[in-house]
Amino acid sequence: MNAKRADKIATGVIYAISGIVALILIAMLAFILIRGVPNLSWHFLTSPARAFEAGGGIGIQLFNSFYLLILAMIISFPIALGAAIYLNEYSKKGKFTTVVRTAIEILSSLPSVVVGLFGFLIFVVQFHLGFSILSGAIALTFFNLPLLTRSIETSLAQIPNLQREAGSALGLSRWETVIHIILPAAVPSIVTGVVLSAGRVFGEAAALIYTAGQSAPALNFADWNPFNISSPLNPMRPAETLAVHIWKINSEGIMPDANAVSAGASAVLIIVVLLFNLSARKIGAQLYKKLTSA
Amino acid sequence: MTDIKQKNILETRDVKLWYGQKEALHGINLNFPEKGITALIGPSGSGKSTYIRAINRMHDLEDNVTVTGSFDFKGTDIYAPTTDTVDLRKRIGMVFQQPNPFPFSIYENVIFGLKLAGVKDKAELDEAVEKSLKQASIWEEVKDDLHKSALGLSGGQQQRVSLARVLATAPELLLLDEPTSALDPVSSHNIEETLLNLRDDYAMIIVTHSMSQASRISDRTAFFLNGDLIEVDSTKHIFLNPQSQETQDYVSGRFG
Repeated sequence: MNAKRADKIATGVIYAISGIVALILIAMLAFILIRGVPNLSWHFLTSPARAFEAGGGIGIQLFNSFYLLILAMIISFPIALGAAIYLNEYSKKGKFTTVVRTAIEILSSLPSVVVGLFGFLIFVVQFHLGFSILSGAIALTFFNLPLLTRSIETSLAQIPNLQREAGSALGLSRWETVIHIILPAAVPSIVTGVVLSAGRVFGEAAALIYTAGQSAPALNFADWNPFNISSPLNPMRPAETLAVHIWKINSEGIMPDANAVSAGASAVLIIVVLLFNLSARKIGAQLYKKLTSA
Repeated sequence: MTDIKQKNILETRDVKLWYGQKEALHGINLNFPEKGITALIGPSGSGKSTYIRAINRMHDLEDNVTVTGSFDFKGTDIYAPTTDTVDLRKRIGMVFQQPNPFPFSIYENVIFGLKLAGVKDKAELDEAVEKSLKQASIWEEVKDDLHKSALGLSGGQQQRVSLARVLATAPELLLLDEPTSALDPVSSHNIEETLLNLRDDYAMIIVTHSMSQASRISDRTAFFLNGDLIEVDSTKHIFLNPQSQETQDYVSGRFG
């Protein structure tokens, strides 16, 4: 066989393999969307779930998912940012850095159900936080922290060393260089990373089943005092999220339209995650354009 | 050349530098007058960039580099533990091989150092921007685009903005580490013109690979080889009548 022919065959095989990967994704999306989208309606998106009769919605679960996501991000972003700045800008080769890096790697490979069970034992039981949004947000932080730290670290590492040299040659301290040059330059790619990780966190179920709980008590959307138990903002209430809801319907749902609810909820989940993923790069690119050309 | 009678802005004595265990500079004695351009020439690996980066303590950013010897910068001991590197680098500006504007507007780039020093007055900043960009000979090209991104400029323009950014903080000594080697001939020429215009107001040290550049713009030339300073003299002497055989071989293009 001559080289030219071998090259042609190799090209064909590589195309086919890539095609298969794309096809798997398209098939899954199509399956979920085709089954789920016909069940979607404003009523479905906004009304509470029903346990025994048909016609329930996913309104509370949808709200819970977003609220948990925001809380988890508020907790995990500053920590991840600090860790990433340390690792990329300050750390020297040494024992402490090795320990931090190894810790992040191990944390990122922990199965999320283990994170959930740990959160259950420590926060729900030991610290008496109960099945609550707060417990869930902390568990999600553990789950999210290593991924977010790594993505921010990569964003910082992409800023060329020339910029750091320019900063210190202008008489900036290391901290000033980070604050005034590195971070502004890295903002677009950091935002992309945050939005992408938001997509992952949004779809997480296993870490939440034992921490945020599997029940969605009725909420009074007119009451925004976070200290009232029926307020949507109360962080101490149990909060079943969309992903947990899907899992629960499929394992023990007894409503007559369980299949339709599950399909509809899955479609909503996948659409939101898709929106996160598709918008991530767009937002980043637009921010970059805005920040670099006034 | 009247540089013998001039006072020195910087006197370095017995400068040695190690990368780990490897000695890269073997005791350099070199002085720089208050005004004019000194060119550092020599083949790659001769230590000229290493030396110039020791002057504003850029090696502090790396691990594993040791510097010894004395650096007397107008009475300031550069490597004294009490010397504030932040303050030092404001007094000794540096332009690098690669143009490195920050990803902000041209205006923001130029006022960067001033803003950090606490200057807030708009009129003062505007004036500094115009003055520095004029000094760097790029005012005419960018005066209508001051609020556009500096990243949109050509390499040569970016390098002159980088220069303006350094000039804006009014340094006393300017270090130029191969400032034109990443640029096309026209841009290089523009930078050279700019440096010649600044020659009467600033002390400048330029590392260059181009011997023709050294001969065109410098008043004095120092020849480095394998971590040693072989010879330093007026540029004319170095190129026409060098004392050492090695200098003679290098400037006549026999090696390097």
